[in-house]
Amino acid sequence: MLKLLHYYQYKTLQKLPVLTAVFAFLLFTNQSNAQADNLQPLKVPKKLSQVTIVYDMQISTKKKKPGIAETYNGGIKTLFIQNGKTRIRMVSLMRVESIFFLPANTADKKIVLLKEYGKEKYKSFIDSAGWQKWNARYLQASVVAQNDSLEILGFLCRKVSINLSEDNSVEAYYTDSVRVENQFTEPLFASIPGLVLQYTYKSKKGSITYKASQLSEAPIDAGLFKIPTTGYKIKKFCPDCPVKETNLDEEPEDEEEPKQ
Amino acid sequence: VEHKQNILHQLQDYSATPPPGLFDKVWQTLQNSSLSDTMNNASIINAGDGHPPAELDFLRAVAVAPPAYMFSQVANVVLHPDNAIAAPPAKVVRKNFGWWKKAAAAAVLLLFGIAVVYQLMQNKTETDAVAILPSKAGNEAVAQPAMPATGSAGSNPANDSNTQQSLVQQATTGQTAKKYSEGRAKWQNQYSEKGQQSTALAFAGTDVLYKLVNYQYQDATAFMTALAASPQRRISIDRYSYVNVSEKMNGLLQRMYETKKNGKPTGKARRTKKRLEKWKKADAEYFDSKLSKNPLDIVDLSEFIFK
Repeated sequence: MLKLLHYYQYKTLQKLPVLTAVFAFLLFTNQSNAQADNLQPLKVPKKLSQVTIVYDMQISTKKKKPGIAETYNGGIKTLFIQNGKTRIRMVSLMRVESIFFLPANTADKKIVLLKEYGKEKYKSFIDSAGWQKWNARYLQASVVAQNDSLEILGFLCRKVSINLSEDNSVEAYYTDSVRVENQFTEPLFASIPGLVLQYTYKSKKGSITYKASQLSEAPIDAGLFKIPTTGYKIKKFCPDCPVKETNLDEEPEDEEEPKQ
Repeated sequence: VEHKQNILHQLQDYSATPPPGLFDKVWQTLQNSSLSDTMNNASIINAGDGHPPAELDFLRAVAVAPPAYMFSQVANVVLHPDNAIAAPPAKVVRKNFGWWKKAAAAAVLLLFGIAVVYQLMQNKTETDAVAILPSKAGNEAVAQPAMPATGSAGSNPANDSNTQQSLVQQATTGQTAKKYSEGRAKWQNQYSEKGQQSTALAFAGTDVLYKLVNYQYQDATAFMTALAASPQRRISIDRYSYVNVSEKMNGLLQRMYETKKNGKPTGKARRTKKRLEKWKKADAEYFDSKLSKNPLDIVDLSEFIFK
């Protein structure tokens, strides 16, 4: 019996260096991967459950003449989060629009789209299936770490590339120090292990950048999360409906005014 | 003879069972000589002069012959020491014991090394993180309105200008805290400048572009003057929000309100106005008609404005 025990001890100990080597390899491989893709936070990020983040929109185009993009350029996107509720609000010269994300147990619908200003102010209730269709392009998105970083609002942000397809990608800078509650509200960032403070989408004709300019943990007026009940037409949400497009290239050229 | 020390060293691992009956024979001899009684007497054993007692002298005459195979085994070891090392199992066990002890020590050292490296890397990351993490203790509330607003619209608090919402910039420790305080000071200055601006830049509760396009000319002049004086050409939408008018857009607005000598809009101004109205219509058709596109989505918005 003792001999058998010694035999097993001997066999186990004989494997010890191999096991150690495998363990060390796995540890270093894991560590180097984490450093390479920077996607695994080395510590638990602080979760912000009450926060206001303002992103400034910067749009650049290759056109010399101002186009419709200028009506969005200089606008802001604000993210409000409090008590499990989220409101994302975009304000620009062209439109002011919000999406509310309310807890499922509230009397209101869970996701509400609200166009706040304009001739036709409306609200639309979005169900989870509709929300998924709206954001279907992000389901297959892959995230690739880039060897770049940036300091935004005092946070060290790492760069990642969110590849949506072969041609489309979004470059984002995120901090792994903090996260926000209800991260599902921005499906584009579903795979990012932190808070995105800057992101850019580039196309052949120009680019849009959202950059965080303010971050606050001050209490938010609860009324900001209330959906107005009057003054808004209820519009049916139809994510599959075809889009009606207007050709903006047929704009009249600016001509010199004939002298009088 | 040359390997005398080695031979003795190797012999320590060898043992041989005495031939059967040897012990009985010795025991019988001792009993016959009545030694058993004297052996129990300590005084005999400890004779005091360091020599064995005389009663034991008879043992010198007792001789026990080693078994025959013993000589051949010893001779084998002396003549072929290599075989002797490999052959006895006891020797193998001793050698393996040394090997796994070394292996275990190496493994412990390796693990220790890995732990030290990992800890150092972890500490480095923690240090970086500490430098950038907002400190609760360092937070200082800056109770300021985001923007001055002049009107209210509806029940939406975003349009309510009576109450003021403060935005608290997160303070951090060390240099980051300094940066924040500098940033806050800059922001305060900007705010005080904004506070002195004309209310022509406050657009609470209105469709901004619609209002811009449909200004009366005298109002438009006041607006353009106020916009030019505003840092970053900022328009207040409500207490939470603002829009910075871009340089290109500013040029477009100026062009839209150009007038001829007789005070009527120029042809370029009329065309610019039509252009803005067309954009407004196109935007509504794209985003509002079926709601199949999301203007808050960066890709949907890009597809629209860059098409």
